[in-house]
Amino acid sequence: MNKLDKLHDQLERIVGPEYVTFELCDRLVYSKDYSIEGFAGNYTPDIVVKPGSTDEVAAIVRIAIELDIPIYTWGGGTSMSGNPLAVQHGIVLDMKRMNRIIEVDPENLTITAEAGSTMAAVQAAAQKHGVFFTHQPESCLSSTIGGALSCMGISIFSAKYGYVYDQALGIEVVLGTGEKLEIGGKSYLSVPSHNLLNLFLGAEGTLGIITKAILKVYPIPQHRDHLSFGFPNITMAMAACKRIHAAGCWPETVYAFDKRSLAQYMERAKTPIPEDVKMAILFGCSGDQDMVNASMKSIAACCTELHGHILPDELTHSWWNSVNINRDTFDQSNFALSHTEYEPDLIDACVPLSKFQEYSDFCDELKAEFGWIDIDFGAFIVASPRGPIPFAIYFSVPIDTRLSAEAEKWFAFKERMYRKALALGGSISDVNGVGLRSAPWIREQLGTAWTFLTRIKSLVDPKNILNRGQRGFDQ
Amino acid sequence: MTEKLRRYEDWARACMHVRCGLCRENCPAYGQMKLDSYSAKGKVTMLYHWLEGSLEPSEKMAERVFACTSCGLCDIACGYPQSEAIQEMKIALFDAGIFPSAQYSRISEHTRRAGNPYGETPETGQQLLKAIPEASAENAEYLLFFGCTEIYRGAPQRESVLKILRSAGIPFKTPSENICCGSPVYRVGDLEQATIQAKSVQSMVKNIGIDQVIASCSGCYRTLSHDYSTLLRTDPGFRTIHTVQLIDRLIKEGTIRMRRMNAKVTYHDPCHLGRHSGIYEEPREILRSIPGVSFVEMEWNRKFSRCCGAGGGLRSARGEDAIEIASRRVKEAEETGASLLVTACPFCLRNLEDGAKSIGSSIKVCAIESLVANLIE
Repeated sequence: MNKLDKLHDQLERIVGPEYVTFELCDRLVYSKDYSIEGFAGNYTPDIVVKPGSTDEVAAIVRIAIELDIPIYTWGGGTSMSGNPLAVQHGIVLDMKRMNRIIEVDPENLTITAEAGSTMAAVQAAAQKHGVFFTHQPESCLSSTIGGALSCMGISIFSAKYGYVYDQALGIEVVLGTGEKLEIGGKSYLSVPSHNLLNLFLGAEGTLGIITKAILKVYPIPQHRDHLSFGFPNITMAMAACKRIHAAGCWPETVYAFDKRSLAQYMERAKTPIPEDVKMAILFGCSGDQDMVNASMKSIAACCTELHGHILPDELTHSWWNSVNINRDTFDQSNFALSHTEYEPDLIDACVPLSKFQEYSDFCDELKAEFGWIDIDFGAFIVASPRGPIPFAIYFSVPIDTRLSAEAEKWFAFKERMYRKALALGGSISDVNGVGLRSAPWIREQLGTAWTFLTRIKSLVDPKNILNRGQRGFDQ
Repeated sequence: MTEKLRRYEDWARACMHVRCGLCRENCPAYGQMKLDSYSAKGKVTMLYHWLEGSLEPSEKMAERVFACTSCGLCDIACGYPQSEAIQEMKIALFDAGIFPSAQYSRISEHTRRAGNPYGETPETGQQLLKAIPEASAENAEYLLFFGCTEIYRGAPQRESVLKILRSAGIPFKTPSENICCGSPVYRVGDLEQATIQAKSVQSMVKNIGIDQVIASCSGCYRTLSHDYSTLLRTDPGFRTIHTVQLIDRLIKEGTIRMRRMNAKVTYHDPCHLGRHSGIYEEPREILRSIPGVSFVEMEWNRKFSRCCGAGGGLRSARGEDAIEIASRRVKEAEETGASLLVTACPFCLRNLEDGAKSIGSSIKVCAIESLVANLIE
């Protein structure tokens, strides 16, 4: 019996035959995530398994160690950085069967869920108990808690409530040794020693497989309102955000898009965009009506002071609808539209706030240098977790991967952009994951800390079973 | 084999890139069979690789594709007509003789042999239809088209529709022969037979000489009103309305009055009637107009309504799976606190009834026509 047949038999014994598949038509679904990198190689796993419990996950890890077959953990598969891709084939561990909401505790403002629960399901469960789970990316209907905690990612409410890792109070994790760890708990100060949570949050499953999470929830705000403003450039838009912070406003949504990004998000609703808009910001506030009204008034005043002009209500509503994708709004999603002609990918780097304009100008110059004259790139800026003040600017680059040279050009372009970000005192960002996309630059940026990280990796995953070949660990 | 599928190539590429998966969690086939390949995203992945030449069609692949109930909730999430592409995949697989199991091909064989998907002796249907007095009606304005499920499996709903139309004094006629509308064969990819059925129905309606057809089966309604123009490549020459549209009008005109019924009621939108045809409000208006009824919505309603699991041949081919899907929909109805779950399609009705039975639910499942017929004063 060869190694894979042996693996198949053992996996069937662990999870049952209906949750293991060798079929090519099943495996191909896991061969690609939302990254250009996914088109550049064959990442089809040898086998797919869907565990139903933490014990089953641990047993699968032990089998993988015994047979020396790598494991690639999957949630919703919506990653934009290639991080779930089975670089060396092996096992895809699909966590979506572990989707139980274990407990909602409104009194103590926590919710406990298995890692394969979608964020929409966690939100719905919280809402049923009168509390609000705030991490809502556009993919929340399909992306999972485990995936979000492992790969980071922003939320439409993150200006007020922070990143997904700000929501984690505790996790259960299976290490690359097959051992199970529980870190943190329901109390807000459950990590009394070194914050071991941060070892696994954002680690993309390279150090352990998150199987359960205890998350923060909040009281539900009763009202929500939005305004959007156009600005002549990024600098003025960022100045307005700082002014709003100084005014004492703490909006829950702050999204800044350039015209190209805005057009992309208006595609399904077909809402017209005023000609003179260069950079626009969507602000959203929630709470009691008088508080929301006061905040909106203050935001409007601050924006006007910094040469912003209010955008039509129709645009504001369309914009909000296009990012607020959930169980009752998923007909508004713009995910797949437009992408028949190109595939967008991201420059996922973070530069200091004062350098946003310079970085954006550099992007424009580089785009011209690369000969992308007729293609508009989209810039978008998000705020989290320091209220209205944004922390990162991204560029969405439309690549026509049907032209073989375009993908190579994109990789070269991305390298120049990342190097520029580092030269500006910035960093590679993990807000949309690191994975295959950004891994080559991580080692360079971390320096000696990289050696330390590899030592940690060899301690918790000595056989390099978890996401082998990912995130630069074995290069 | 893949010629007609080429038109979806760009969409399949877009799906392969984006991988948003918004179509997955609400997909009845994925919810039941658990593998991603059963979701629309999974099927479009197969389509992409099929077109690329990196996946040869097989029975296993067909098993995933044919599990689609044609509910179309994926289209709502995606913005692209994924269910249309999946339907074309079924046709291409059917034409290539690749079936997941004999249970699917049986629908086609039965229709080709007996003229109905159940394989019932056509004479049975003919006798039944001829026994309806209105079969010999003259000067009728409407032609009441009963579907195969109503004829062979749904006597109570059939009688209810007749009672309502008679009570309201609607001048209608019924055909004296059963010709399947073609929906069941079409949903399992038998385009050729579906087209034959469409031509036969078109010819029958033309010979009868009435251009207004009433259908109470949502599957028939969708097929007659939407699919015939595609299958026939021309306007069928008649207009179709669903019974809920007619009943709603009759209530508003005051032609129908109903007795009081004190009950909390919820409504399941049949995919063919709701999402595919945009008929959401009429059944709700009917239910709200019943004195004493407290109408409550399920969380997933109107265009977001979840499928009962009966469509696309799933109930015939994988009955246990279809009923389990229905049982989940029944649980959603139970969560509203309603004692009555009403729907407007004989397929949904039977599947939801079986779903309720399978979990010992106390909720009563009822066709909207039967409810109205029982309450008519």
